[in-house]
Amino acid sequence: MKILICIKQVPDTATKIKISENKKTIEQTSIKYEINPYDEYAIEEALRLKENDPNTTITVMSLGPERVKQSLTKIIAIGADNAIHLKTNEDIKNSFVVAKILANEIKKERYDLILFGKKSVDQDNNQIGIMIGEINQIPCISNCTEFKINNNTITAHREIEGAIQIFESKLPIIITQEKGKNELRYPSLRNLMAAKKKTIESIDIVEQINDDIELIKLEYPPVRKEGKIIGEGKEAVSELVRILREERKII
Amino acid sequence: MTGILSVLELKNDEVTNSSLEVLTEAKKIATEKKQDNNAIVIGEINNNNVEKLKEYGINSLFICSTNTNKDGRITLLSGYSPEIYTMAISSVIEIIKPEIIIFSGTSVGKDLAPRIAVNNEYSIATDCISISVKPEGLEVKRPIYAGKIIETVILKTNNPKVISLKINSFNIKKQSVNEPKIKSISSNVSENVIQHLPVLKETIFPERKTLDVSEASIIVSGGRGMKDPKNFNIIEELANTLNAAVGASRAVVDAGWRPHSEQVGQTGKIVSPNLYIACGISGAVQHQVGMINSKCIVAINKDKNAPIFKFSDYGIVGDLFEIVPELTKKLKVKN
Ligand SMILES: Cc1cc2nc3c(=O)[nH]c(=O)nc-3n(C[C@H](O)[C@H](O)[C@H](O)COP(=O)(O)OP(=O)(O)OC[C@H]3O[C@@H](n4cnc5c(N)ncnc54)[C@H](O)[C@@H]3O)c2cc1C
Ligand SMILES: Nc1ncnc2c1ncn2[C@@H]1O[C@H](COP(=O)(O)O)[C@@H](O)[C@H]1O
Repeated sequence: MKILICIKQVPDTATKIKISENKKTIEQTSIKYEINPYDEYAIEEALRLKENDPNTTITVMSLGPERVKQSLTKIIAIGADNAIHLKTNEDIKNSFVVAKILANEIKKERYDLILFGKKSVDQDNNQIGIMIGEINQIPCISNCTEFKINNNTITAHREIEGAIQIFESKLPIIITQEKGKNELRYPSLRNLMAAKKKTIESIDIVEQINDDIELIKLEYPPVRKEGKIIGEGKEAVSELVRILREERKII
Repeated sequence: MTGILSVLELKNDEVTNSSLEVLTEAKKIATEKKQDNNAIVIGEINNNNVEKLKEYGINSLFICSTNTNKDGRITLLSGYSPEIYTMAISSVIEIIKPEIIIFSGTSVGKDLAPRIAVNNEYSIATDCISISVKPEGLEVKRPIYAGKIIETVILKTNNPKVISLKINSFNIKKQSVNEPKIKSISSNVSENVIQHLPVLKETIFPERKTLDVSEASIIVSGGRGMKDPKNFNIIEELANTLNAAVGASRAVVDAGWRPHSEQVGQTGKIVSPNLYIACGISGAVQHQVGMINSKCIVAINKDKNAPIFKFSDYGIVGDLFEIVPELTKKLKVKN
């Protein structure tokens, strides 16, 4: 089985995001980039499939600037076979453009299973995997917490509000991964050193301009003012109930 | 390209509240732009609901509850299929060529909006929290970086647009009653195609019927301070008393104490209820981003220096095993 995983580098979720003076970009200096958390869950699922079926090859692909190589190397160190770096000068924001570039590269091979994260935690789009399904005419099941593959058939659990939908489909398929049950493993130092010697296929991407969406500004959400400690222990409960009932009228 | 198309959703035979939020915004935009206001609903909708929709200023309501095969055979649409739903919506787009299509930011809307955008070359912005009509186009605000930043973007006039609305972010407002034109349509998907599509085999509901955190107006959440999964009974009891949903921190979800569907935060749900009560949760930034937009936040934690107190409206310092049952008890007594 041939598996492809598309991964994006995003600021570490604990990073404080600072808006630049121009109000249109964020300060890059203090940011540590990591693999998008949902993509990590997807990678771990792929590695487990490979453990069960050694005939599996895993390719990872990422569109982004030079720094994404580091993440690709890490994924090779934990078990991916190949990596493709679609190189740009900086992150492309327009999801349409990203989807078209990725779709075009994906078309060059026949993959049985193509994995995406359900969303990138920087742009919070929730779009790319689903779009590529439409562009390349491959069915896509989004928001999956887990899936199983048996004889060319996939059974996937899609999480919706208050329930789980179980979908079944033939391969090839696109899955967008919700948080799964399995955390991504760490590379050993030895494997990391070995992975660094492996060449990563690099393709220069000429950025297509699409100006149908224009960024006006970035701003911080309104700050919450620091609340008050009503009191300590059980004795404070009556006062809390009074506030919620009489002052705030929310219960 | 002119007119608005709202995509409505049904749940337990009712038009969802998030669909009514969509309709309210759609009506505003349609009025401002002096354009036609259309809506589509996929699935079987009963008369009660059609009546209800008359209060939202819709000009034409498209109802799609069947599929027509190539050979003219008509079958009922049963169960969610993204591909068939996409084709149903696309067939309406072909008829009315709307400039703006609006979805709810639900699991269905999130799944369909990008498909519709790509297939019809529309610009797209998901999970919007405000919309305004500008001469240059449609200006929307949307949270990025899990809500640490709000971006304002313009979807420019020359291109048609798909947007989805973050649930619980807009008010619902009724209009004076009018009679929309009702048009029944059928998606046109051949059996050949259907055979190759993923099928929904089964929907599994949790054993106990619970409110979902993304839809509830009150949430009671528990974290590692609960110490043991069994202790969540005191959280459930408080939640029942308040008609609230149970939420959880990632620590307790990863430990297998609670299902992922209850997780609030960066890799869980981003919620904005009227009241959020955090019990034994420290308030890590990844949890914070998931609940910071709640209208009122209450924290119960034994550590007075816990970060959660920094962004809660009200806090009680102390042992949750004493405080939570006491709170339930006091709430059971009506005023
Ligand atoms: C990529 C990434 C994504 C993440 N996504 C999420 C997410 O979506 N949601 C999320 O929640 N976290 C997320 N996290 C994890 C987050 O960083 C924290 O580890 C987690 O939120 C901690 O959970 P907690 O508050 O329950 O546990 P702890 O931090 O251990 O806090 C327990 C609290 O309980 C209090 N306590 C203990 N006993 C009592 C008692 N008897 N009475 C009262 N108080 C008591 C303690 O004082 C403490 O403050 C993510 C992390 C990463 C790296
Ligand atoms: N630049 C990129 N390179 C590779 N994959 C990407 C890129 N951007 C997004 N993706 C994939 O698409 C998913 C959804 O991203 P988004 O639609 O931006 O929320 C991510 O989890 C990745 O799997």
